Amino acid sequence: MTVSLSGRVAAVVGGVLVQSVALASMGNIGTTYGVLPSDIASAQALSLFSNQVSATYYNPAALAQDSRGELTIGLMHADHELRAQSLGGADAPIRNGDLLQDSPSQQVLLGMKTDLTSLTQYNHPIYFGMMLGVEKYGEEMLAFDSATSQQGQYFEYGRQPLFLNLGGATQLWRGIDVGVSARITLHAAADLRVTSDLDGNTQYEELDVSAKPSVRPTFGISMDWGETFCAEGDDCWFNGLETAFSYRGYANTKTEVDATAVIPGVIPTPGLIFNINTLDSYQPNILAGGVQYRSGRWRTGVTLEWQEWSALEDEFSNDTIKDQTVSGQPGQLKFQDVVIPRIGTQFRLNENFSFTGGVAYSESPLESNASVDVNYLDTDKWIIGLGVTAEYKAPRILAFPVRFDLAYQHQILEDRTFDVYDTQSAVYPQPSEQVEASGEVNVISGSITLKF
Amino acid sequence: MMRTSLFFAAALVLTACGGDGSKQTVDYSERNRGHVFYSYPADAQTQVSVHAPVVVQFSEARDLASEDITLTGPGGAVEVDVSEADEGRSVIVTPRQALAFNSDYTLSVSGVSLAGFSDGTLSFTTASAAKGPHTSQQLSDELVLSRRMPFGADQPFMDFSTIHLQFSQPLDRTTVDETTVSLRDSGGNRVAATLLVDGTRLTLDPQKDLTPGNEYTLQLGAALTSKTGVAYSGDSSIQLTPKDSTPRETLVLEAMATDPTKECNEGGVMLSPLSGDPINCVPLIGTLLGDATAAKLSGNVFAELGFVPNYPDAAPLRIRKGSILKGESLDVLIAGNLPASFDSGEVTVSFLSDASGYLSLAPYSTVPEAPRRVQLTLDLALSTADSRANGAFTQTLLQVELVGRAIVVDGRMVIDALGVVEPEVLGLETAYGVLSLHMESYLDQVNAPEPEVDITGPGLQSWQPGDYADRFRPGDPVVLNFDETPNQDTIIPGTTVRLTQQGAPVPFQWRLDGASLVLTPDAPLAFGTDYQVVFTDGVQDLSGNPANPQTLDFTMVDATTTSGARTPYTTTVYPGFPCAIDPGSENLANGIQGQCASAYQNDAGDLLPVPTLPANRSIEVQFSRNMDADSMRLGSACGQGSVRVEKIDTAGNCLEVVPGHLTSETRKLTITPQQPWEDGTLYRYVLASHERAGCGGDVICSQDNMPLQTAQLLGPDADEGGPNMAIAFTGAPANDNVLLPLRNLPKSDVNANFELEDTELKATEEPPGSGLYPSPTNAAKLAVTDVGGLVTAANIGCNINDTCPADKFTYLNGGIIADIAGWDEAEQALKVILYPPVLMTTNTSVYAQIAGLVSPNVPTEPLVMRGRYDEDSSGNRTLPLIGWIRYDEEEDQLMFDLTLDLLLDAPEMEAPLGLPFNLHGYPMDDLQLLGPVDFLPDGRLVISLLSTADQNIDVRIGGPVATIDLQLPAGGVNLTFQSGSIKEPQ
Repeated sequence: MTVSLSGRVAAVVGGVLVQSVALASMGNIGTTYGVLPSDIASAQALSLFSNQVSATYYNPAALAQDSRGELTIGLMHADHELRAQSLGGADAPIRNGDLLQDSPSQQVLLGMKTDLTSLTQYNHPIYFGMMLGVEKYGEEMLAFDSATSQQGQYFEYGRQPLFLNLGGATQLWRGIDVGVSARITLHAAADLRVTSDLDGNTQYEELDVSAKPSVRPTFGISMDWGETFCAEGDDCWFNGLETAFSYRGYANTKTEVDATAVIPGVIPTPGLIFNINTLDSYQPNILAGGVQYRSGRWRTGVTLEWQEWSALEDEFSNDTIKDQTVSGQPGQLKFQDVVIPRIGTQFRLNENFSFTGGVAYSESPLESNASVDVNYLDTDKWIIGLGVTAEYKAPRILAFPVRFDLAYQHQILEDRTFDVYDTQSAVYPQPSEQVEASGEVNVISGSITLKF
Repeated sequence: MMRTSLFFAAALVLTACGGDGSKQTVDYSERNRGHVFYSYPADAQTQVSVHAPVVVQFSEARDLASEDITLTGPGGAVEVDVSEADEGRSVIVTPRQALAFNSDYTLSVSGVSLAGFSDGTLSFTTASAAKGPHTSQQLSDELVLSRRMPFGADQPFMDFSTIHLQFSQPLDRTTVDETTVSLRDSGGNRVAATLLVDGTRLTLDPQKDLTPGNEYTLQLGAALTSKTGVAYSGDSSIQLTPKDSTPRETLVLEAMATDPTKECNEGGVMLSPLSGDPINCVPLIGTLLGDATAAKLSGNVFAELGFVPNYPDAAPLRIRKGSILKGESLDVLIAGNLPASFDSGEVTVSFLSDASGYLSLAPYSTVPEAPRRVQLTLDLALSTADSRANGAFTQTLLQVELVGRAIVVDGRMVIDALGVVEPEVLGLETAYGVLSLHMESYLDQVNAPEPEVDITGPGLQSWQPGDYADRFRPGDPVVLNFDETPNQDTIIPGTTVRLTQQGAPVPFQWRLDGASLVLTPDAPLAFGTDYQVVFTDGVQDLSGNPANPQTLDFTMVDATTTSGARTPYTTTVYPGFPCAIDPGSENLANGIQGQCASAYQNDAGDLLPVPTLPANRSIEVQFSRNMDADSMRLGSACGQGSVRVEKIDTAGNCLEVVPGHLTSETRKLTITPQQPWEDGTLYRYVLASHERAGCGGDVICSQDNMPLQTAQLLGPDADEGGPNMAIAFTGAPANDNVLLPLRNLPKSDVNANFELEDTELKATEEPPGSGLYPSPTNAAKLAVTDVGGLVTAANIGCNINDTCPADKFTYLNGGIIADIAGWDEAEQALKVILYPPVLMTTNTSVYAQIAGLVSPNVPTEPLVMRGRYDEDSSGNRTLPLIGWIRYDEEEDQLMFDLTLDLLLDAPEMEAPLGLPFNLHGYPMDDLQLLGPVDFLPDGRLVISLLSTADQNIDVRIGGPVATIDLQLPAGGVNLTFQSGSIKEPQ
């Protein structure tokens, strides 16, 4: 036993050679990629008007557009090529390769919609929908990662938390539907009480883990101008014009860990208390408004989305892992609210096939180019989506049509330079390194929807 | 539908395989290299021992060559040796010479900026000297606080903190008490605390923990003064608010022996990763002990940690007062080679106060692998089981600072730390040793060992004067050496410790130095008086065990003067030779001091050389009698004062006065200069007197108002003083020799009047009935071997036909200054430089029968035996004498041998008929002296020399008219010298 030997070992294991990359993810599959293939294909431009079950997230009012029940099963695979290229610095590490983060997000999707009109005596249409997304093709219900990073970590991409939305919709008036849904996230809590020696051998352990749901609302309203203002059969120019508006309340996934360690001879009762309270994912308040026009085989829509990221600074000030980024100088993390324009179109080739495309430009909510110790990276990006839908109205076994959706999305992350601040670096408070962030994301998603 | 499914699957696979970049790895290994994990001293540390090595430990081995490392001090680059430890990670820089006191040093590494250090270099400041010129002992001309611990954000003041203070000048310990140094609560009430003081350092340890959050005030009064009398002028009150250390936890650490069986200096023992030296060994390096003495320590340390989560940056810790580390017995080797024929017995290191320290963040590196820094300040007491070793070594070591590192390895908290201890050896030399402390916490703290319970109280091991009251002189302190360190708080003068004279209390000052209780009577103890020393069971050890009470009686030797008192004289002077110089013989330009002033100047003997005085030494003078301290006043202008130190030219003209400080004890005078003596500069010190009786003016006098006699060769009257004793000397570089002033004790002529009084002891038949009268200590036996001329018979001590074997002795007064130079490889002996002494004898009756008719008594009166310098290559007697201490293996005994050349003078003798005689500068060369070197039970050194050959003295009166051949027979000269009290008076 020598200190020096263990010091070397610790140095190797602890990060002299390779440091693992944290997989943080601010956002969720709905905002980052799109929930179902149709959302991915249109770059969410047509999501406000989609009558698929993903409407529970984007605009629950749209659930009322189709009275049939629906069961959707899908898979989504998001492949990331997120790069950080060193531009040098006073204490820059040696980076081999340029792919900082490539862990995919792999979701299994499950959605169901049903008509609950007969639930009441009034025969007023009421629809209920539920959308579920689980990471790692269903193997990871509670993926969680929150960390500081010496080399940088991407702000938005990575493993995604459990995605669960429940909502309902009804027709308010002719051509006007409203809906409300609840986004359900988990707030996990863990309590650990342990007595340990300096070698980590524990005894008298006590562990208590719980996860309670947090319910955040989404409101939506849709208006079919033709149905509202034009008589049935009229050749009214409003026909085909739809507008929609939704408000998605902020939601987050967070975890609170209270650990207490008593180390005889070093720390007596009440012990060494670890109090970790951190966000893993965050969805800001989102206001989205869109207009869609149907004409012949075409359906084209434009959506503007306002996302209130600035509130995340307050959230981070209570985050025991990232609090230094919003209070520290230098390298203070600042967020900005962003407006994202999305435009998409769908072309119906025949009664079986239709094609969807969309494009969006998302400005980075990260206003600052540095965040001490956390070192978030994020860039402005172009989002381009393409998809195909195949619908079989009379399948052999099933009573109702079945629909297949396949979508591909490509996101292009524009180059952006960040200063890396590392308090473990000898040069701190100077930045240890400058990196250029860039990358691309490829998303493929497919689903099968059974009507009933 | 099948086609669609295939398309979907293919697309999924393609996407999953996508990506043309390579996964990035981030290598921080370069960033994590080159860090400094530890340094000793800590960067910017002050009061660092001048013997400290400089250690820098890197995060990995550095291939550094010696020339890459530069240690720079006030005189430029310092010559160093560079070694490595811990597989090259630790670089140890050892200066070849001790560093300068009170000086700034920086260690720089060529081509490497030491990250985390100020300016990329390791800087530190050395400590003040404990002895020597005042500029090396003090930081400023004012007495102020120079350092306070704890202090600053990285040393929070805790409820269990001990306050360590360091001052700009050495403190006068007699001014340190609860009225001048106190800690008071918010109500102004004094907090009961232990006060420890030594030199510039003062420790205040509250007896109970303070109340967290309450305000306390550390008060320092102006009555607190330095040794040179400078009043304290710093902050008079310092506000302190202790922080809460609770809840606390006790970490039990094992300080294991460097090896279960091997000694510290053997190979294969466990080495410190910091210094490369054996762990938990306290080496003691110095001229007296050489470099082969090391104490092997081991034991459990119970470190009480404040609540670490509340102090993440600097976790406070303490080791409670009374904690003990034990060391194995070590052989006492003089100069590292000569067995002193006893071992130390078990060595005990006791904690005199709560040791305060901190576990702080790594100071120079932020990498997680960097160990934490440990800083500990210890107040320690050393004691040993053997009484001689205990007397020689027991002492208090205040504010030993350890700087270390702590890291958890395999579940154990491993602490390595370095510190320098500087213990006094025999009260003569400040030795030093680098302590490489290594401790590991027990893996299972729940079942870790409990502190050993001490159930025995302190017992008396030896004491001074003890059975040696005949070696005790006024001014000497009474010293009680206990077998364990008493608790200072239980020493209550007049209650638990008393000094009485026939029941009447004798006021005294006291101090504890290790396990020694030193009592210094306010007035010197009186000859011929009975005293009692009492200590009760109120004296306790640090664990609260009561002492076994004792009453100790002693009687001061009788010094009744029936034949008249004699003026005091200087038994030794350093530097120089103790006599006033005949002005006409002085030739300073040629390095000649001159001849002693004599009534027979033509026979005054050798021309004395101008001696040198090393820069680190003081002028020291010993007197034959109790002196009047008020008569010794240091002059502040040329020619002023009864004691003068002047810078002079070669003509003897005073150029300027040398500022300094005079310290007078009952029989000793010390003059310490403000500045070190300048190399090659001519100085002079003057002890003023006058050639008449009585005192007054600038005259050094005894307590009974007799002036200082400086020129015995002038044959002065008993009550007359002499001319000024002016001794020129030249400044020289400092050296490491150990100055050992020796007194000739015990001796018969207690009152030093050169007469053997009836109350004074003379030779006795030993063993009774044997007819043998061996020479008593410090006596010389005289025998008549032949007569001639008109002298037909002669007898010593009684008339011609009488027999008086007990009266054939003359009794010697004097002393000698030894300068221990260290081990001499060629001689295989310890080299001792001796400065020629002057021995004064008592009057001896010589009965000479003249022509067979009459037998008058021709008293010799006091004889003066002057040691002679050895001849240099030019035949001039300018060289001091050389003696040797060797080990006699057969006798298992240290032996001292010396050859002494003497000049004999009988300045006051009167020959019959006034005839001239030849006892003026009569040469007695080649007096061979040999004898054992022993240690008294209290550790004092005794050298007992006997002449090994006959020494003839052919007395010629009136030339061939009358001759008496005398002889000092072999074994007839007994010179017994003894070192002074190991513990200085208060």
